[in-house]
Amino acid sequence: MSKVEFKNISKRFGSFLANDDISFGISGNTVHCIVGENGAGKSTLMNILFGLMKPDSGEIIIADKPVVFSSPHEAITAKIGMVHQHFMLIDDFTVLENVILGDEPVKGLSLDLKAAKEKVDALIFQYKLDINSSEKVTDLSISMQQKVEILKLLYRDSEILIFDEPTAVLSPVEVSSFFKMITSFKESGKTVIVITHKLNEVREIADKVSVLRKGRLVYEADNVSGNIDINELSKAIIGGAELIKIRPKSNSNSMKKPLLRLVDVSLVRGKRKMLDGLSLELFNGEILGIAGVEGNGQSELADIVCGIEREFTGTVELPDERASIVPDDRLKKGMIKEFSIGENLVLKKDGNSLHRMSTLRKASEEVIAEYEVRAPGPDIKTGSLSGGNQQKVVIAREIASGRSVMIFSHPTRGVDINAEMFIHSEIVKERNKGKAILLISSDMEELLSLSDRLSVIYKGKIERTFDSNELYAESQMPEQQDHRKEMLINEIGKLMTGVSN
Amino acid sequence: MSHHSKANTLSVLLSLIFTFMILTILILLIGKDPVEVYSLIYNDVFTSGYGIGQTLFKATPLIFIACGLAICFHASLFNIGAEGQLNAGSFVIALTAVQIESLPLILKLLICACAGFAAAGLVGLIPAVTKVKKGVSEVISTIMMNFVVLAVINYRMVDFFAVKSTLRTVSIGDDSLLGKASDLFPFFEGSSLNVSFIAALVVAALVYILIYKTTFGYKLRAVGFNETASRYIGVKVNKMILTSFFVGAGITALVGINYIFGYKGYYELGFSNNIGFTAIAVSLLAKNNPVGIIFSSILFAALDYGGLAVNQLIPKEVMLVVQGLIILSILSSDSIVQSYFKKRGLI
Repeated sequence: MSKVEFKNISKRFGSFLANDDISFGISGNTVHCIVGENGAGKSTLMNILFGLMKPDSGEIIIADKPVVFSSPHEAITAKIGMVHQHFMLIDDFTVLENVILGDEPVKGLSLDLKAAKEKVDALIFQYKLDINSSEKVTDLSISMQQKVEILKLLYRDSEILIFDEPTAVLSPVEVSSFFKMITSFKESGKTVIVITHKLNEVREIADKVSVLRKGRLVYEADNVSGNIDINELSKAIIGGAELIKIRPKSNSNSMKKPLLRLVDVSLVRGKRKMLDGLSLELFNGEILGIAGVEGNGQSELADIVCGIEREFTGTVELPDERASIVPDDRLKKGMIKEFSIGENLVLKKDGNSLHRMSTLRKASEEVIAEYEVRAPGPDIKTGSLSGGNQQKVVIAREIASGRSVMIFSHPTRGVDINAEMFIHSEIVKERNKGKAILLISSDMEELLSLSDRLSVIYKGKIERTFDSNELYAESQMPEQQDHRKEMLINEIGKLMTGVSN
Repeated sequence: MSHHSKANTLSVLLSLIFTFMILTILILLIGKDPVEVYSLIYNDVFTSGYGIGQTLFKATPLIFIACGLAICFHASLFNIGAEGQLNAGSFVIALTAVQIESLPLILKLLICACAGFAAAGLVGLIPAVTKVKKGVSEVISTIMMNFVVLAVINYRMVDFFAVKSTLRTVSIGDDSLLGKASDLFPFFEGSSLNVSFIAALVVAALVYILIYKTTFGYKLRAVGFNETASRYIGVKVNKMILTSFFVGAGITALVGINYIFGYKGYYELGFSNNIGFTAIAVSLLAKNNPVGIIFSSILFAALDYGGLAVNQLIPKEVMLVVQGLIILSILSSDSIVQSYFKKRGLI
């Protein structure tokens, strides 16, 4: 019997299908890993289980009863707890105060701190959490803070514990002690759900694995004593079974010269080393793909190349003052949503000049026509356009700015298939004009179909770069090609997840 | 009219109606007849040339300051330091004018305006630099700069520049004073309205063009809407912060032209009477739109002058209550109207 059962869960954001008819069960007393790329729908599914979102259709069944949570509070009452990727702690409170916040024991009118401390300390002892309940959170390391989050769940007697990317913030030693903790929860009868994309971790802790891709459940497997097939799993995650559609030719006869060169670049944010001696070269007329699990230094790399991040060590050589960038989050970083298309274009201008309504409108109309933007009129605020059309506006603006190095960071995330094809052809067009393009993506198909060379980034370093004759062999038979590609994807998948060493 | 400007107009109207209702209740509570009070205000402010002249005269500095502040506010920079900035500017204007007494009036005005602009601008630049370099909140630093600037002026005044046993500078001389409106139009007889009011209208028009029609203005508002995106798009955000603070603070100095050249002929400690704070409300009420600022300045000036007119019936401090109420109600009516429009998918 399943402890939790998802039945035909679907969830749509605008035109984007985040969860597409997902059904599976999670047994009690197990560690169940949910695996998939960014945007595969893992977090959406967990947010639905935790009451942060409501599904458009389908239902969740817990202990044979269908439940509908309209808030996390109701989920917590049903003994479900979640540790988010970003901790939700109050720095100036002690561990104890953080744990009991929202569920404080009272004696008469006053807080019964003594009883609370006894209960919390007992839990710390029982699960060997090795943490002092009277210390302030601000003095704790990240892994200790994670333990506080876990204590919050235990204090509320949660039976089902959800962890969203729990090891992303931990060092290897901390990871192994975290795994021990997970095992002890399972042994004490709890159900643990872990969202992750690190495959060696899955092999180590999972009893069962479910793989999501593009909102669908594509693969399920049991993991008996660590014998799960990593190759099968990585193929399921990145969808290697589907054929690569286009292999754009780069014009190899033009003289190659490096436009962008990074040598031994390191960057520390807070206490974490985000880039660790990274070096790369990017030539004119090529697309260099950057593959990697998100959070391994891709966004820091982009920030440095486009001139926003300056606190790095090492050298960066660029032909212009900065590269232009199509950022990963178009609403937060890509555009001023209160402005029309034409007004967004104004921001690229140097110097100071007057802008008439009519010329701005004309600029909007040109973009709408050239980039097939679906907009009701030239004056519409870019915030009211759909995701794909917003992305086209951002790309139009960055191309128009005419820099020779361009960064595309997750250029087709959350856009529909037509916009995706259009954007891909624009990227290739710019490459053929001789621009140097850095393509950061977590979509393996996108990377393989566009990149002339492909680098795999892991923990702030380029693990390996595949050049074009490694990526593509022209004269082979189709079945050999397929085989080669499968090998390639396996190899990339392992490099990305750090399995290879 | 776009849905956005409809929403803005509606929320301003709502807040004015609400304020008017509360004011009526307040007058009733004091035990006076609202009709009598309102008709007195109306008669005094709007039916005599003197009343209209005084209202416009009081609106002049508000227009200057609020326009300067609007530049900062559009970049989401909460400049609370106008009081200090305008005093520094006016002080320098008064001192400069005395030094160049022999020059022709128009040249004198220009030089003084530039000197004042630079002084006020530099005072505004200090919090901008600490914000850009060290991330110090401009709200705190501009408030603190007010104290610093006023203390420094006080010290220099008392020790060096003040006319004996007063708290004012040497007079710039009667022939340096600007023409009064009543010289041309006897209708305004007795009021202090002068040419600076026209200057204020011109400044408002220029600031309007700067904010809404130029590259600088688009970048300014982009920073205000979304600083992160502005950085990614390639707007030099730090430069924008520094420039908007310098220009915004600089404009507040023009108050000194109205007061020194148009009215008293000298700088006097405490002349500003917290007008730098009132102007924040004026700009807010106008949604930081310079054209709107002209009207909200006149409204606040009318309340100010009207308060004097009805002082025999109700305490003039009631008008301060009204100014505060306008701000409180506009903030709440804003969110009410916004959510009403959003629910209907209009904005």
